[in-house]
Amino acid sequence: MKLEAPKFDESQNPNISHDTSHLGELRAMLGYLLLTILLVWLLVEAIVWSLPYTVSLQRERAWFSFVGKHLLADESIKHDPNMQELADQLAVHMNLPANSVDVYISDDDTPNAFATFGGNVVLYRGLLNRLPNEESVAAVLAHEMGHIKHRDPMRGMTRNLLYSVFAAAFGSEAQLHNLVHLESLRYSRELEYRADAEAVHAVVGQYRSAAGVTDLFRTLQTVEQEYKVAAYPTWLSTHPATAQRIEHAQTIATQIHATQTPAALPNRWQKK
Amino acid sequence: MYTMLITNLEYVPDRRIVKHLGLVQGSTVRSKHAGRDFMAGLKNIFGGELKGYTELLNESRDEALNRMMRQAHQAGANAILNVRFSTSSVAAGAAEIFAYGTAVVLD
Repeated sequence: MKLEAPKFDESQNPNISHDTSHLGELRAMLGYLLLTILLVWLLVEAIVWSLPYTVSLQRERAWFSFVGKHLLADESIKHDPNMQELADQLAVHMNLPANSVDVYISDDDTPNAFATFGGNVVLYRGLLNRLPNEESVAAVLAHEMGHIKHRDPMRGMTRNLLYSVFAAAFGSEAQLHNLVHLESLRYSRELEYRADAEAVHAVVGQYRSAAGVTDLFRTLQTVEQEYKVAAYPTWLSTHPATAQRIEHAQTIATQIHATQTPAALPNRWQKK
Repeated sequence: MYTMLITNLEYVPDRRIVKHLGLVQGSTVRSKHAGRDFMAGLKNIFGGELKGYTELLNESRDEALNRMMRQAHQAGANAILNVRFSTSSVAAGAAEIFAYGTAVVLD
């Protein structure tokens, strides 16, 4: 047996990639990545867009009828016939079919209000007590009803869920999940602007003046000062900055030639 | 493809080793795509064969063998003796398959 130790030519080593340009590979992978993002985006947006058509508000209300019962199980939350009447009046101006919304009032001191699944709206005494007039109460109610009209609770949740599932499929990278979170915040702010627009239309339709909306935002600003809400940058918040919401609401009011006649009706829900 | 004798034996019965050419090796590091990882994640819940990963390692072994044979061919060998496989985990979700053996010329 002859012993030989041939020196292998490294440039011919089959174990190493001899393609000196990695740019092509990078370009191909970035291309795939963009294509994947585009497809995922199209798929999710198509599902979210079609949701109001596949699941009607009446069906959503039937599915989530337990939400109302659950709310009423809390002794501090009550149905308010006067508020319900106001909601039904506003619904006419918002092109919402009759019996789309159930309004509840919570005795909680938190200055807040929210809309949730099944057309349920909860207003907190903490906010109602601070509002100066009926017009501003109508503004916050119409804002929440705007969320119901646009089916925001369901669309927002479905969208976040779908994007989170896709993000999870691509691994547990924190950056990816942070991106998904930031995007959901951006979407939330978009929904707030649209609900604000609904509120302006409804309040102007009902009272011939957009002053109620402005009064609502003024109240929100005093609440923010009172609670010393940390000045988060807008891109980290679920809601746009109140100053920008005022500007946005006034732009819409001007577009529909609404007056700013000061609100005059007393706030019937104020409890001193 | 290379016509080459690959064996785990140190000697081939009834054949004489004419030339010993030293160690030849082939290696590849691979990962599956996110879709396969997602399926494997689901399989972790319900149990069963992770077919995607079986397929991945099978492809990797073939590739490593192929590269080893190419190196042996470059050295002028017609057989690789005492072939072994080895594996190491390089990064999360990526494994190296490594094949090595002794390149020889048989008469």
